[in-house]
Amino acid sequence: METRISQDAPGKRVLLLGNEAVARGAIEGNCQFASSYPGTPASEILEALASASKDLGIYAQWSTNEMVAVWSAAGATYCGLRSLVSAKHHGAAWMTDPLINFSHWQIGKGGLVVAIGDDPQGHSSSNEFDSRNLASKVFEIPILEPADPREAKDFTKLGFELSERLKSPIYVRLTTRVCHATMDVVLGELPKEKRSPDYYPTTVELGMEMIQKFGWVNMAYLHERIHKKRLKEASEVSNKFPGNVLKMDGDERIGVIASGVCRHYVEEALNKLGIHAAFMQLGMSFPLPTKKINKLLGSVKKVVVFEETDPFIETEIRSYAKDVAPNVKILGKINGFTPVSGELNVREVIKTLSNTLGKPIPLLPKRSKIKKEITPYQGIRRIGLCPGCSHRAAGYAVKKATRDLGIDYIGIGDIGCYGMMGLPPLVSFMLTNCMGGSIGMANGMAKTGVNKPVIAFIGDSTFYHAGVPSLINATFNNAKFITVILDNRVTGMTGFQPHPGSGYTAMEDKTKRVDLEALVRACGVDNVEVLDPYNIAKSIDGVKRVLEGQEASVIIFRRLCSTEFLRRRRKQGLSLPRPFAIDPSLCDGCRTCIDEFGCPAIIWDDKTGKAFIDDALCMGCGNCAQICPEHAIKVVKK
Amino acid sequence: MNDNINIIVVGVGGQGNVMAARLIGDAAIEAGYHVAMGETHGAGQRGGAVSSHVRLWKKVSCGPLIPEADADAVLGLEPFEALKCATKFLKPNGIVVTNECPVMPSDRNYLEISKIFNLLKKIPAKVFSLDGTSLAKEVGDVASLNIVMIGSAYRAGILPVKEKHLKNAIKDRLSKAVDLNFKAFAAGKNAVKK
Repeated sequence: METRISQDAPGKRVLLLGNEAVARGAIEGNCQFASSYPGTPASEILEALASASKDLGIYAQWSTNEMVAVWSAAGATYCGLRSLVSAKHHGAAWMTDPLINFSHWQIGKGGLVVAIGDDPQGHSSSNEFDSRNLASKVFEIPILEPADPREAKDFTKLGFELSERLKSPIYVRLTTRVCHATMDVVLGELPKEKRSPDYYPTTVELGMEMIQKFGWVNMAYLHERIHKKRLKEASEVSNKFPGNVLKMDGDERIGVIASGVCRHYVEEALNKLGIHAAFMQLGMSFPLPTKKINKLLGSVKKVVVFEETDPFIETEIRSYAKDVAPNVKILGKINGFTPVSGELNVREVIKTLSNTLGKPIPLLPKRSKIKKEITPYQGIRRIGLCPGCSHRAAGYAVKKATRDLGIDYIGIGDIGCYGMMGLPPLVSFMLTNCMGGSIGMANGMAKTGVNKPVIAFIGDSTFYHAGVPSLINATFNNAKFITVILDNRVTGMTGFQPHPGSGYTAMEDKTKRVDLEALVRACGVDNVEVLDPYNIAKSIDGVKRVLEGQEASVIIFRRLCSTEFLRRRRKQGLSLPRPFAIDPSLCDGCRTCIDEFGCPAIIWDDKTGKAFIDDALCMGCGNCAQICPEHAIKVVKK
Repeated sequence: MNDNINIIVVGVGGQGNVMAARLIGDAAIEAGYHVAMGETHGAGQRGGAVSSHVRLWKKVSCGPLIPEADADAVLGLEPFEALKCATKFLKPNGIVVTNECPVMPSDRNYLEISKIFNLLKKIPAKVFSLDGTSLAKEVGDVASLNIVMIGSAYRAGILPVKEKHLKNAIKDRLSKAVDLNFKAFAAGKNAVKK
C-alpha cells in the first residue's frame, strides 16, 4: 500500500515529521536496508521505513539492540546495498565498538548512514550527552547536522553518496527538535533501479595493501588513513557542502555560527533584533569547512557559537582560530556566554546576542499576577503508569509480598515504562542506570554480601536487549538475587514496537517467538515463576514463594500492555472491557486504592471523603476491585 | 521581517492535539503557506500536558517552536492548560479559543474554572469558549473533541485557511470517520458567536 512516505509524487509538498523525512531521504537515496532499536526521539525513522517497506521492496527490521542493528546494516553494505541504522543517542553508545571498527576497516560497497537522535534537555532520556563527541573523536566519521525536516531528508539522501565516496559511515546527527519537528517537505524522485545484493569483501583490498607494505596488518596505518585521507577529503566536501552557508552583507558587527535547529533560532533572533551578522550555518559540522570559516574569521572581531548540547563546534573553532585568527574572540559555552546544558531557544539567543553587543534585552510581558495564581497548580498532571498497566499490578504484588514477610529489599530498576514503578505509591526501587543495568548492578550487589535481598526489575524488550549477558554472569559467578521480568509483550515506552518475544517483525511478518522462560533457564536460572499480574492474590503468593526460597530466581509477570491491548481492540473493531465503579455505600474512605495502588482513573473526592472512578479513563482491568479491602469496587453493568 | 502566523494547540495527552495540529498544517499547505511545527510535552507521557506549536509563513521561514509571548492564538482543548500556555506564549491581545470542560487530576487539585477565565482576560486576551467535550459527546464520540475545537477555531478566525481546506485535511487523515468529524467540525463552528 502506498503511504505518505512511499508515494511517487516528485514536487509534491507534504507535511513530514523530521524522522519521516529521514526515512524519505533514505528512500530517495536508494537505501534498501534499515535497522534500529526503538528509542525516543528517533523511533519513527524505522517505523516509517517499515510502513513503506512492502510498497517499495526495501527491508526494515527492529533489531535486538543497537549493536546488532549497526552490524546488520553494515553487513548489508558488504552485500552492496545502501543501508541506514537509526537510534537515539544512548543507542549510539551501544554502537561504539562496531562503528570504530567499521570506521577503521571500511564498510562494504554500499553506503552506510548512521542517523542518531540526540536528546538535548533529556526530554525522554536518562541524560543529554552529545553524541557528536563519539562520532568525531571516537568513530572519526563525518557529521551532518540538519536544521529541520527539509534538511533531514536532503542530508540523509546526500549521506549515502558521501558514504560511498569517502568509504566511511556518515553520521546524521539529529536532535529532538529536528526528529519531532514537522514541516512541509518537497518530495523528490524515487530511485529508478534497485541494486542486487552481491558480496564483495572490501576489507581484503585493505588487508592486501598492508601485507604488501608491512608484511602484516598495521592498525596505526589504518588510523593514519582516517586522518590523512578520509578526513582530508571530507574537509574538501565540507567546504562545498550545500548545507554549509556563510551569509554576509558587508555591514556585519559580529559573527555567528550555528548548527542544527539552533540555526533557526539564530535567524529569528537576528531578525527580531535587527542585527547584521556574518552568519555561518553549519549543516556539516565535522570536519569544519575551513575555507568558509577563514572568511568568517577574517571579517569580524567576535564570533558567537550556538549549538546543542556540548561546546563541540566551539572547541573545534577555538583550536582552529588559534592558528589562523588568534585575535578573534570566540564566545560560547566555554566562557559562559551561552548555557552549558539543555536546549536553546530564540529567547536565549536574543539574550546572548543582546549582551554581546551591549544592547538592552527586549522585555517580555510580565504577567506576574497571573503566574502567581497558576504556580501552585503547575505540577497537577504527574507522570505515572497508564490505567490498567500490568506493571502497577506487578509492583503492588511485590510490595504486598515483601511487606507481609517483613522483608526489606534492595530494588533496582531499568529503562522503560516500568521505570515509573520507582515513583510513589509503588516505589519498587530507588536506583536505575541504563539499558540492562538492573541485572548488571544486582550482580555486584549480591556478591558484596549485603544483608538485604536484591531484586532487579527489567522489561521484556530490555531483557532481550541487554539483560541476557548479565543474567548469564550471575549464574557463572554464583550471584544470588531475584530478577523480575515485566513482560508486556511489546516495547511499550517508545510506541509498542515488537521485540524478539512478540512473534512478529517490524514489517509485520510472523516470526518465531524467542521463548522467555526457555531463555532464562538456558542462562542457568532453574527457579522460574511465571505470573499473571492481573491475578493479584496468586501473584502475591508467587512472589512470596520466590522470596522464601534461597535460589537465584526469575519471576516473569506476563500480561499485554494495557494501552496496546486497547489499541488492538479498537483496530479490530472489538468491544472494550466495561469500566468499574466504586459503590459509595461500601467505600469507607480507607484510601488503599489511592495510597497503595495509584491508578490514575481512581480519583479522591475530598467533599465525600471517598474515592470514585473516572469511567472515561478506566480501562476495565478490575485490578482495583481485587485490592479494595471493603470489596466496594464492581464492574459497571450495562 | 518575519511574516509568520503562530498558533499553539494545547491540551492533555490523549485529547488529540497533535492530530489537530497536523490537520491545520495540511490545510495551511493547501492554502499556500509553508509550515513548521513542534511539540512540547510536560512530565507525563499520557495524561500530561502536550502542546503543538504551528507556525505558518509565506516568505521568511522559521523554526518549530514559537518564542515566548509570540503566539497570535492559543487553541485550548483543556482550559487550565490553555491558561498556562497563553500566560507564557500569547502576544498581548492575542486570541484564545478554548474548551470549557477540564480534565481533572487524580487529587482534584485544580484552579476554579471561573478564575481561569478571569485570568485569561487579564493576559490580556480575546477569549472564545465553548463546552467542546459535551458537543463531541453529542456528535457521538468524545474523541472528536479536537475536530470540534478546530471548527470553533475556524469560526473565531484564528486559522488563515478556508473551510474546504480543513475538510480536505479531515477527509485525508481521518478517512474512516469523515461524517462524524464533519459533524464535529460544524458543531464547534456553530458554537462560537463572533
